[in-house]
This record gives sequence, C-alpha cells and structure tokens, in this order.
Amino acid sequence: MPTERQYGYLQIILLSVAGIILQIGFVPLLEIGVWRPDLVILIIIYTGFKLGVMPGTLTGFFLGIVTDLFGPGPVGISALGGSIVGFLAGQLKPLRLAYNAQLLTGIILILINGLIFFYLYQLQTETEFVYLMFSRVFPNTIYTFLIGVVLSLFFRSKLKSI
Amino acid sequence: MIKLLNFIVEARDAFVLFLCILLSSILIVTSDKAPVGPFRSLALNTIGEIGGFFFEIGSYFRLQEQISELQAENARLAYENMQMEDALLENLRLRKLLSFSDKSNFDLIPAEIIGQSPHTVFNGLILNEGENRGIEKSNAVLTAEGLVGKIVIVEANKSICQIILDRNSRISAKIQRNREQGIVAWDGGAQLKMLYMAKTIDVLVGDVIVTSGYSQIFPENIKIGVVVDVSKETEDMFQEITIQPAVNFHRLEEVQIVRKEREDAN
Repeated sequence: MPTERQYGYLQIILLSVAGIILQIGFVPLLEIGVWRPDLVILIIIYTGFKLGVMPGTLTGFFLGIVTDLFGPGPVGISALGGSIVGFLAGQLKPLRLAYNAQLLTGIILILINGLIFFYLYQLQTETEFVYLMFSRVFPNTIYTFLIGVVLSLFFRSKLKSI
Repeated sequence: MIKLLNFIVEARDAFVLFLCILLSSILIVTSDKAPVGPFRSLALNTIGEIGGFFFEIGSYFRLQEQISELQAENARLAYENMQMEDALLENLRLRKLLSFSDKSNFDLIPAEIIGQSPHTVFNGLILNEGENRGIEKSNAVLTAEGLVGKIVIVEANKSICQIILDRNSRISAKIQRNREQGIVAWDGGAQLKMLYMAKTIDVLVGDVIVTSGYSQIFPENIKIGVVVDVSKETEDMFQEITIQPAVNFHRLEEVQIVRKEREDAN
C-alpha cells in the first residue's frame, strides 16, 4: 500500500507529464497576442507547497530541463528559474498557508520565475530587459496566475490539506 | 570531514539548490554539446508522437474550412502561375543571351506542426519531419506567405524550427523596392526591426522586406514582412524600422522546409 508521500510523488509525476504535453499542444490555443500561461511553473509551485523543499527543487530542475529540450534555445534557462522557485515554494510548506496566502505567494513565485527566465533570455540581444518586463513578464505572470486560480478552484480541497 | 558531512546533511536543501543552479549554468553554456542530444531526441520522439496524435484530432475539425480556403487559393495561384510562366520564359531567354547561369527552385519538404516550444515566449515549432527526410540543421523554413525560420535541432523523425521572432534570429535582408541592405532581428514583441539602416536611406511604410540571398541559410527573395513604421527620431545614426512579419505564426499548421537549392548550370 503506497504511503501518502509515495502517492504524492506519483501524482506529481503524472501531473508533470500531462503539464508538458498540454503546454506544448494546448496552451498555444490560449495565447492572447504574445502572452501565454505557464502550466509548468504552476506544477512546480504546487509540488513545493505539497511535498517540500527537496521535491520542489528537483521538480523545478527536471521540468525546466524537459521544457528547454522542446525549445530552440539553450537547455538550462528554465531549469535555473524552476529550481529556485521550487526551492522557495518548498520553504513555505511548513507554514501551512491559508488558501489566499497560497495564491499571493504563488503569483510572487510566478513573477520571480518570469524575471529569471527573461533576464537570461534577453542576454546577448539588443532587446531591453525593462521592455520585456512590461511586455512579457508582467502579463504572462498575471495570465498564469489567473489560470492557476481557475485550476485551484477545482483542486481547492487538495490545497487546503497541504 | 565528519563536520563537513554533518554540515552538508543539515544544509542539504540549500546544497541541492546550489547543485541545480550550477548544473543549469553549465547546461546553458554547453547546450549544443553531446550530453543533451540523446535526452532531446528521446523527449522529442516520445512527446512528439503524443502531440502529433492530438494535432490530428484537432486538424480533422478544420478540414472543411481548409478545403474552401485552399480551393480559392489554388484558383488564384493558377492564374498567377500563368502570368509568371510568361515572365520566366522571357527571363530565361534574356539570361541566355547574356550568358548567365540558371538557378532553379528549391527542394521543398512539407512538414506539419505538431507542437510549439513550451516556453512562455513563443520561439519554436516542433515539426514531424527530421533526418530521415534529408532535413539538416540550418535548413530554411517557409510558407507561401513568407519566411518562418530555420531548423535548429534535428532528430530522426522530428525537428525544431526556431522562428524569426526569437532572440537569436538575425536575417540578412533587403528592401525589395530599392535593394537597400540591412539585418532583420526580433523586437522583443510580435514584430521585427531592421537594423543598421542609416537615416539617409529611403525607407517607406509599406516597403516589402525580403531575404537578401547573402546568407548561407536563407534563399534570396523570400518575403520576411512589410514595413509598418519608420522613425528617424533616434539618438544614433540609424533609423528605427518596424516590420510586421508576413507569416501569421498563430495560424500555422504546415510549413515547407528548404532541403537544398538545386542549381542547373546553363
């Protein structure tokens, strides 16, 4: 009989595979202009909240690697932000935050990931980081947060038990 | 030694984070090297098959609309083709008179888009063709509308196309009207900009930007986009030129990959 923790790991693995597939095939349909949500970072934050620091960090790292494998850019950019965000989310697990506090910290973590990713992404280009912050980071953060809120309404009972 | 081990055990969370950051940094620097290749191949082939399955389901519902669009486009192209055949024959005749060698058309491989890069910045397309069809890294990718990008990663049956709306995209281009040369790059949003165009160069809104042919990657005269804004109110000696891409990247379902350029010497 798998323990609750083992069940949690299995849940995260299945969520991760589904998240990657949806991010590649379904999320482009949700694009508004150049803005799109990031399901992968939502999964990383959820893992950190649910299972703690180590699983959050490692999930962020490996999901970031897998995300980068499907893109034309260098591998490691998403892994760097993902592992930091997973670590931070895991640090919040012992606090057993209320639902509203989880949403608030969630949007901050999404923002941190966006800032790290686009800072690394714009290196060696003429594009200004400040421009990308306002044209990409902030809108993507809000959009991802809204999708996260919608998803959390379905999984609210799970989040309350974290 | 024991103290060090105790320290690592107590601070294992931070230690793991440090390792992840270090590995990420190393991977960013060495992305093109061997360790990444097999994992990329495995990921592309696995997820690519699943993504392709969902793509086929979605494309089934768009068939009727596509058929109507294609029929209209076919009629228009057939008419244009007749006009251009006349012009081509005359061109060949004149080139022969002047003893120019004849450059023929490209070898095009159609490919379906089975997914997009999962990042929040849309910069890549996952295609369902790869090495087995003779596709190589740096092959140009285009549609009837214009330039899409180039192949950056190739596996046996899948490949990834970096689109022109990407930080690494640099295209040698020219203004079709007056043949002035420049470099087209991504502007950070949904458009492109033309770099290194001196303020003395005549650029108008509506000018068509095409590939120059000086690149080893992109054939000549592939449409890149249209100039939508020109500003000379800049601090340096170059004007700011904004280009709307010719291709609608949000409606792409199929592309053509340029396998090679056939040259028939006259």
